[in-house]
Amino acid sequence: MSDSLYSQIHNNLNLRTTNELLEIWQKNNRYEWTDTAFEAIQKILVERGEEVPPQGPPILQSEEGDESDLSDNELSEETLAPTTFYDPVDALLLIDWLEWTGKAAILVAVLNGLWVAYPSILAFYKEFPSSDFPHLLKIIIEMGIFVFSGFLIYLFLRAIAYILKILMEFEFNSRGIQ
Amino acid sequence: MNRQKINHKQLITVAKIANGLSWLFLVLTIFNGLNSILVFEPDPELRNGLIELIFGSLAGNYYTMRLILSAINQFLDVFIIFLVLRAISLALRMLVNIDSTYNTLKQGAEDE
Repeated sequence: MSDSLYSQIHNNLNLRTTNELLEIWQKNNRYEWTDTAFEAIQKILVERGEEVPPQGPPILQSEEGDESDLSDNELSEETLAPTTFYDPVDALLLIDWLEWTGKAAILVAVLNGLWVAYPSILAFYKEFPSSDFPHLLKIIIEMGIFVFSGFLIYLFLRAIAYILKILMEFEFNSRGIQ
Repeated sequence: MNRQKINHKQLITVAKIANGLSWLFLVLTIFNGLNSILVFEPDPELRNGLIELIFGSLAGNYYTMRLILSAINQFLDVFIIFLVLRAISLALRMLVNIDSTYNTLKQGAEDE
């Protein structure tokens, strides 16, 4: 279970009122709600300063009379909400990759900037203190261009990651995942 | 209703194409990179860097650093395009999923 998914479930449940959460907690319907959801509910209740009451006997079957028992593994899979058109685990992985690649882009841009400006930096220190202001400005501009381009890539990738997160949230809510 | 189905089909097709292209692009670029190093004569700077990388010390060598940075840059560019294509594919699939769920719920509400 990734942290992103847990925090997403936590955030969704956090939108509910304390009474709703207490009701879900006490009803203990393991067919409708996953173990992760219960963990999140317990945490939210504690965060809200509520006393966590004992749970009722677990309901493992659908209230409509579906008799299929669900093992823990199946419940976990349900949390990950198999959808018809995409895999949420893939989506979370991709979001992580986008964020890490954005950070890597900044790092690479800084390294590139240092490398390109290296001759200028060397010359500046050799000629110091006779070196003039335009020389320093040249170094700053050389490095700045690279760092700026890296930062733009970072923002671009973060924006895509956020768009995916928001879409996932929409999709998540549209299914009424519990 | 038909129009909606056609739209979904088109979106999923575009998503599949974007996903396929992302992997194709990644694999082809990696093969192309390996090919240019192993088969064809690289440019002198790159060759010097490669020789130094394999046989010499890394420290303080201009060409080696340049080679490494250049390789990282190229890989990063390719990887960013790969991620963006996959993101487009995923976003389209999510949109179809949202629309599909909405239609199902709407249909259910109308039936009731």
